[in-house]
Amino acid sequence: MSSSRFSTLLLREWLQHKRGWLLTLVLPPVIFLVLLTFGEAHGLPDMPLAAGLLPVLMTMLVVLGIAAASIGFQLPGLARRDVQDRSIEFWLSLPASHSESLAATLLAHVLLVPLAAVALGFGAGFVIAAAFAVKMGGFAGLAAVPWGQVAALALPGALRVAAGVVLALVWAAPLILLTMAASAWFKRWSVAVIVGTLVLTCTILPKIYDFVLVRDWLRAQTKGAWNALLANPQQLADSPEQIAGIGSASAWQWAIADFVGELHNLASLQMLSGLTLAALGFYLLVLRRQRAG
Amino acid sequence: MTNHLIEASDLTLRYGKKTALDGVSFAIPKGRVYGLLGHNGAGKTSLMRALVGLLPADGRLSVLGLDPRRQRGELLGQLCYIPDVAVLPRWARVHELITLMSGLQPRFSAERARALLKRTSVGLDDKVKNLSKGMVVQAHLALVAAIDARLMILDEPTLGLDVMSRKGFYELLIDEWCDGERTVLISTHQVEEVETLLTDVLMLDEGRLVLNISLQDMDQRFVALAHDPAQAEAVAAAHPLLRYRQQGGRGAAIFDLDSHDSPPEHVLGLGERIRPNLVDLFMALTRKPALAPSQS
Repeated sequence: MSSSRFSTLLLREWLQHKRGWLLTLVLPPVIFLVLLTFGEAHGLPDMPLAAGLLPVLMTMLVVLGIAAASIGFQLPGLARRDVQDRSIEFWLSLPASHSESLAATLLAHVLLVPLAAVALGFGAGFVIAAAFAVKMGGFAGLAAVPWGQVAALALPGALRVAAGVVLALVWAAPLILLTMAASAWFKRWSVAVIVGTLVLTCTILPKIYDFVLVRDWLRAQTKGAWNALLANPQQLADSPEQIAGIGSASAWQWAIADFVGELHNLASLQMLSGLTLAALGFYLLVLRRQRAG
Repeated sequence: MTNHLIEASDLTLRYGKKTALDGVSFAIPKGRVYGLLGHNGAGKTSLMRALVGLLPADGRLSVLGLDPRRQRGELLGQLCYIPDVAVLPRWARVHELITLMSGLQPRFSAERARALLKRTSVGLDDKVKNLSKGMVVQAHLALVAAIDARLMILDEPTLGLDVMSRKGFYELLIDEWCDGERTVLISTHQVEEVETLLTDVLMLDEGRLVLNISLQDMDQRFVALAHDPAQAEAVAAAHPLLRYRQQGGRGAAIFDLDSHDSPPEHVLGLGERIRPNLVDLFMALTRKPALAPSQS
């Protein structure tokens, strides 16, 4: 695989989707800021550190959530994108392999965009936190927030979430790739096939035949993806006083321990089965692309 | 070491029970302009796609010394190819396509592409979706012709274009790409339009290669006889490949002088010898698929 060719394939994703991505990632914080300007701010803790930290973390998670939802809607369409806009013959006439073309699309949409969402949400979080502080306490309120400490505590959290995105992607890979493969092979019937399969395996088979293998596997895979993002989200929701008590060193310790704990979960039979199915999904996508045009 | 850019031997390709290519063998040297002619469904696109490794074919196939199926990526880096449904991505601007091709195609010259585009009415900032079909094809040719390759494969490149666009396309191709060293293989069923460009012809009929000949040899092998109505019966008795009417209503017939039932000398004296054009020959040969290909 040539690195310059792969980076060009990534550039292609940027050129084709930049408008949608920017709208998805930038618009929500901008709308929130506009609403904050004209609305009322309440619900934030009184402690300046917590009042600065919570908007940063919340904004980051909300932007990531919106990006993830948007990607979830787009993924099935991505599998058939070039066939639908009839440009597949053009791409197939260029010396890029099927697997690197698909890998670039996947990497851009399911990894780089969520990571960009974390980075952008993190940055926008400070702007929103500042706007909150001004709204609630004027410029004196803004000055009261210990921004250095906020950054020192928020950064480990942001990096933990960013690393969690990578782990979550590994857990979600079979679901993503099999959904895309279903879309590529079954085209307009893919939604019916996916919904039908889910209803059959998660509802009908467990009820009638007590066959819970697929349902439990799906649950474990989904749980793995959630936990990968944040193993102990409750810790973040702890009282503001407790957050204020955490030093920067403790925050880094927590982030690393939380991440390492989740890394250990990768070494499991569940993960192995997931990766096998992900490989199958990728193979089916490559096969479909080979036959496209 | 062979001088041929393409060598195909006993190439066979099937879609289920349907045979798209049936034991096709040919070799294409450098510096030629080959026309691949055939009716719709004759197997032209299947052959083109096999040549660039997009379809698996039985038999032996070598393009630029490479196996198209196994070395597809390497091969596509060394040739120019415009597929039959040549649709550039509609979301892209032309300058973005130049950027992308610069990164994807190792032999692509962005500078040359810009220079070629100046010959067309397509602007660098134009979005593909705003271009007419003819402009899209011209832009595609300009991009592809900026690849420093020895072989260009064009599958029905002017399909659906108006006369002006078709003329512009072929002018750009001949002026800017063909240099006597490079080879072009153009598939089309618009036979009359490419006749003047070609040096050689491959004719496919229902998956079989019914003719492989240079235009120079074609003039020696095939003869058309324009005759008066009174001679029609005698001409017909000599088993021509095709009988047809010329403009003005005069009868004509095409004979294959290499065939085992080539006409006796006296038949050739029944009328005036004229050069058969490619369209008539195409009609003659694809109506008679049993004719053996020339081993030239």
